[in-house]
Amino acid sequence: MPLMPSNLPGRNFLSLAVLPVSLAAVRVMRERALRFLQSRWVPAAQQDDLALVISEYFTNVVKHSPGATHIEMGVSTLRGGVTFILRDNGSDISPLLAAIKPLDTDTDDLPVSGLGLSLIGALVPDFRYTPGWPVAQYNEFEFDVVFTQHRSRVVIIDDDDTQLCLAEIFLSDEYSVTCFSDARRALAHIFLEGADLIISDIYMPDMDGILLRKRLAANDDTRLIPFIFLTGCGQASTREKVCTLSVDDVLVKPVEKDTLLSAVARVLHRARDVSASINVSLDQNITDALWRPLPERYAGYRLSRDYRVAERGGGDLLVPLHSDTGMTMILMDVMGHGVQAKFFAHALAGYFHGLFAGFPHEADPGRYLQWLSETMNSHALLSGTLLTCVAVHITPAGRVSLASAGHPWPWLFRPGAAPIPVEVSGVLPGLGVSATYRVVDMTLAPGERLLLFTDGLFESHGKGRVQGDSAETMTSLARQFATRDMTAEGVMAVFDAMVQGAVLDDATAVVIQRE
Amino acid sequence: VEHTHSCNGTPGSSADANQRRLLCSATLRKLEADTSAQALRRLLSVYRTELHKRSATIADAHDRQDNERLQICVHALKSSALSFGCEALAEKCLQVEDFCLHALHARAFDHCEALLLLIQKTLDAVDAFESAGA
Repeated sequence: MPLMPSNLPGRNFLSLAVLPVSLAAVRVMRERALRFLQSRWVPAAQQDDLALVISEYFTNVVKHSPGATHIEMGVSTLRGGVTFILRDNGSDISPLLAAIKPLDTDTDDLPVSGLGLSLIGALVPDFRYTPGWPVAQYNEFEFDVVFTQHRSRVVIIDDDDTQLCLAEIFLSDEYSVTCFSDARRALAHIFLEGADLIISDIYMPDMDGILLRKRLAANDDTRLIPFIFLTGCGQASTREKVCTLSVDDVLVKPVEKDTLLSAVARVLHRARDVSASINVSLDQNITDALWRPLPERYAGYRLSRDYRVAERGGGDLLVPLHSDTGMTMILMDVMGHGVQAKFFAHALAGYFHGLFAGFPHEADPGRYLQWLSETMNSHALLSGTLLTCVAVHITPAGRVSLASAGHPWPWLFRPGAAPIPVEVSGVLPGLGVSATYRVVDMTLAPGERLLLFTDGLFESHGKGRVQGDSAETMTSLARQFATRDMTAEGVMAVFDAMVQGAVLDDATAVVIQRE
Repeated sequence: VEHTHSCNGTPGSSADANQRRLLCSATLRKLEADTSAQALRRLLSVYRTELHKRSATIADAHDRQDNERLQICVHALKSSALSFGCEALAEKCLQVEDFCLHALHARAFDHCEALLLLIQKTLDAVDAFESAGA
């Protein structure tokens, strides 16, 4: 009997793995958790700590709960992060957790017994534990993980310690600042580590700011890093000279905090805009080649999709498949951030097109996900890939069937009523040898809309982070739907208006509207 | 040179005006408001160290008649002086830097003694400001 991922009512629970109890399963849980945390830019040290918590908790189940048969790990969306939920059907360990003693790092006499639980208490002190008995079948151990926002890296170079200290104090609340009093050392650091913005004095001994700028401009990797001169040199001739060096701004000392922050924000914003435009242009070309067009109308439904491309990473793809039994749309989100994730996602898009084309055409979207999962599970490269996927099949008669592999719930919008989530869930593809996927069938009434999306829509923004796909957010969206004939482009426009800052993960919206 | 927080024009005695030109408490209060009391203490500590270092460098450049070293030193000193509202010191630095830039070496070195005296007065003013604050 295959293990089915849990569907926790009222919670958007994404099951990362459900496995029979064994120490090997604990290792799998640890690896899955690490991959998930890596994909969310959690710092490496925090990843290790959280993976240790998961290992210790499940190891405790394996060793001390002889009645346990299954363990499951998943996440639920939290504002600014996720809640990890570890589930097991073993013994209630409330008394043991309540008796956790703090670890005394000053003593050499660590407790031999209960050390694992003490570690858990030290690493996630705000954990919550709900015993399964007598209400539920599973014990649940939960802890929250707040994702760190990406802070732009600013490198400041000035031979004057006072100016260096002043600029660092002005900027360090909002940016990750690294200071150098020697331009040569700064150059070596930038070549090695990169930077999002460089602020340099001009007049410095040994290597001056102008030579520094020329060295950076001569290197492909550093030429386009935004650059600001912050100088005490007010001479017009010097200003004219630096203007030929393709810099983004020239500020004259003394500079006030507001002036510096404003210049930094403006230059970084401009750089992001340019970068995003280039990415969109590139991505559009690749997407046009890889994403088959979605028909505007099918079986009495109006279909639309729109997406936003992350500056550096993330990877969404939409594969429509046509057959005699109807049309299937498969929306996938390859987890990961950074340039590598984007290129990997593009490569995968081509691969999946071929893969899905080779599958027997089916009216059951769950079968597509099952094939996908089996293929990924048996494929050396794909088994290391973490992705979520939702498959929707529309018959010529207008019946809609949905299946999900770890994907955010679709939401149903009905005229005059509150939006409701379509609680369809399933294990991530490739995690189990014989995963099966529950299918939800529905027929939309005229005016009703089904919104499918990737989680980048909610989680990938900078300062103005949008709350997760909560009823509150969806109700707000529904109000927008009520006043306009809204398509996926409209959904994206609403989210564009709600968020500020950089898009850190691809976001895709697909709207299926009954006409 | 742009300077947005001038202490000039504030009413008071001539002695007060001279003191304000040494170290403008309004500029320092603005820095404190923009950052924090702790950050200002750190900044003043760094500035005090810089003043001592620059003082030694100017004396050395004078002894060696090293025009380039003197020019680099007063250029940097001018910027930090303006950041703390030390207008008198910034003006003297600008004057010496100008002599250096125009290769008027003798005139530049003639002002070194006055410059060192002004640095010492600025250090005293920083100490007085911190004592008053404490």
